[in-house]
Amino acid sequence: MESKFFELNDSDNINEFIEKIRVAFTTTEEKPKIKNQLYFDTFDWKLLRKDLTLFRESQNFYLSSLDNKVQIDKIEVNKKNSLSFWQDFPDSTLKEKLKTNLSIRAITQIINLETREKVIKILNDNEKTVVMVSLNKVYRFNRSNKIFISNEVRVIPIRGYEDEFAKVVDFMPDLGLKETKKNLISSILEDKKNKSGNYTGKLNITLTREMTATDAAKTIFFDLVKTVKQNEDGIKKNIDTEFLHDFRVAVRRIRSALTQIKEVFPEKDVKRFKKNFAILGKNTNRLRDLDVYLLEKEKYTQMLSDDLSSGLETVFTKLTHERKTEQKKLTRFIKTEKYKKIIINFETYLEKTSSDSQNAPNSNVKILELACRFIWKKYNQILKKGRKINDSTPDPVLHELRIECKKLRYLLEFFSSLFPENETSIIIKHLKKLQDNLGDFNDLYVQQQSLKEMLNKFDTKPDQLKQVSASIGGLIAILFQKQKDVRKEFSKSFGELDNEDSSKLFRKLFYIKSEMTQ
Amino acid sequence: MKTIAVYSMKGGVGKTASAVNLAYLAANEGKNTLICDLDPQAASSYYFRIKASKNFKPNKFIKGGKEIDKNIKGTDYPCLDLLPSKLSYRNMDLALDALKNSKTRLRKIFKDIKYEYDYLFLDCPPGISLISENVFNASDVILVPLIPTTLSVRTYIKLLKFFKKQKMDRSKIYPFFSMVEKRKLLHQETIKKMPKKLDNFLKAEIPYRSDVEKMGIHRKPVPAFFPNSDATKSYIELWKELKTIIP
Repeated sequence: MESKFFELNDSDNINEFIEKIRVAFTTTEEKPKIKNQLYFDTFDWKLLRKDLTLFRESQNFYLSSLDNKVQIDKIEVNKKNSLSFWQDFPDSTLKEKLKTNLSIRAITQIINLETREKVIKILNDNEKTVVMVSLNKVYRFNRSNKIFISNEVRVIPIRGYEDEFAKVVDFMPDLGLKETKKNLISSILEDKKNKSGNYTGKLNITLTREMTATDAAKTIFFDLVKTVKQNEDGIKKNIDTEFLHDFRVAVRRIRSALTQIKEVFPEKDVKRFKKNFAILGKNTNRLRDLDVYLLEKEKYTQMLSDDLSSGLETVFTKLTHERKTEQKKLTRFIKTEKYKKIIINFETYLEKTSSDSQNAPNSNVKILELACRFIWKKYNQILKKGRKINDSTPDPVLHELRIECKKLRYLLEFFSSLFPENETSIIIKHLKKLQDNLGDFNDLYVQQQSLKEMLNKFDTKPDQLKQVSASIGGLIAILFQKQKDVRKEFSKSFGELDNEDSSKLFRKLFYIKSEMTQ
Repeated sequence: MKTIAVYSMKGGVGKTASAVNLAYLAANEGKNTLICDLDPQAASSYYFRIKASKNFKPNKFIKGGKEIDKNIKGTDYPCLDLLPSKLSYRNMDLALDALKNSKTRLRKIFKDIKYEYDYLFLDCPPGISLISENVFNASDVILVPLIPTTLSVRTYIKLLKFFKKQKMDRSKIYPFFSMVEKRKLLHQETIKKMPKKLDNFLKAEIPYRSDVEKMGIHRKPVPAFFPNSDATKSYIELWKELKTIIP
């Protein structure tokens, strides 16, 4: 049984409402309470998307389900300082749940609400509470202003008293109350999410088959630039590492789209933008590397025995310092005119360009045709390359294949709205297994290289250096072994893409159409 | 779900008060808690103003599953539910005796709800009968309130002997002093001697206070009507200690 929610918009009617309840039932009332609740979520709304809310009320944090206000967990927090990551919470089941739901994202304050709550308890002949009616007058704080949002009446059932609950619920329309599908909190949070851009980090576009290539490309680029801009603030405020990560992914997608959606814009413009976005990539490389190392800290430490892992502490302290400097450097860069111009120039260019202007051979071609042509071609290139790989193939060939796979993945993502969702998702699933394998292989390689580089550059006292060298040496050996193991899995994961089922699906979706138009 | 039985062979030692107040404190921490009233006197049901439905009889109870689910009632407090009992529970042993697994049935009865609750408190009837043996088998912790008198201690030792004879796990039995009157010499002396002699003795003591008796007038747990009283404080101490021993 779940609570039911009603709206009582006319504030003047509250007393009348209470009076009518008093007459109709035996009641007892609690003193009105004023509750101040701070709601939290991640930038990409990880909790709300799972119908969860996290809020703080005085010294307690509550995790509860959104729809029926079932309290899932509660934890007392003594510290006044802010809690950002799941690791910051005291050990509890709530912490464990946050771990699963937040992963590496930080929580930030979404909204500050004040609720004046009056609870009327409806009693039976034994004076046992059988239903609760809670009246909530909800205000929102906007800096120092208090803004009235709405009056909500909540009818709360008590287990084992279903008939009494139904009676009270049935009585509400007689009092002029309308039932609402969603409770007030969920509407408020949902509204806040939509107003703030409903950030997901994923490409969020709908193309139509009749669109010209120019219009489609513009749609894709606008969405990606929006993602870049949405993440600027989080990078500057140093909230968590995902802002930079999403920023970089969007930049990489822009660069990939510029290269891969061929001959839609004039060559000279494409060249200029490619150069500009490469600058953004370059300026963020080091900070991302450092983020990755620091995120791996625990994993690295666990790989080594206790006496070896002590050397790592020295390394990580140094990296943490460097990260601070790099973060400031990047923040400064994002504030420069140079950076702002790169973004604005691209946006203005997109706004100005229309498919009428015959600037490039593919400008006016239907996007469906182009999409099929590009995807089909890339798919076949990958099959050709992948089939040649055997146990004696040098590592760089696998790296090349990884990059080709990433290109195909991006193409599929750019154009997925043109094709049936269930079929593209199957293809992406097959491709993902191969990508994961190649990605692991590459990560392990890159980690070894950077550890080696770190070792060469590391400057510290000689006795410390010994320890550090031993730790890093140990890690490199482990990573090398892992890389070898991952490589053994390659043929299996390639088989996910290179098989009859996948090939049939690729042909069905992308081949025939490209045949027709050629 | 952790099952905590509040049990004593003797009556009138503060079993129900302990079960009700401890369960209230557990629920107050946001843990989903169920009190199962097993006593035909139905005192804990009375404290929460809950009446069992007419059809709910021992034969329904021992069926478990849906019958339990249907008859659980919410108390006036968040996270705290109660499964009421009634006078016909006096026939519980008869109902159990008719079963094959007559000594381990209770564990099965709560199988369906074990993911719904964090804690299950069993408010047990006095005596040592088939339902008591079921309680012993189903519990993670058996709390035994002891009035610091010679007779109480003697009964408690009998319980330990019974466990030994039945080859049951004695390590889950935790006694604590209940209804303690510090002005009584006998109480003082018994308290001084006892814990040294017996294992698992809890440090927390529940004093004899009229506040606890007033539960019958207010029909509420003590912390709900006298949150700052001595009695409340002692139950909080007991709950804190209990949390450290729950496996």
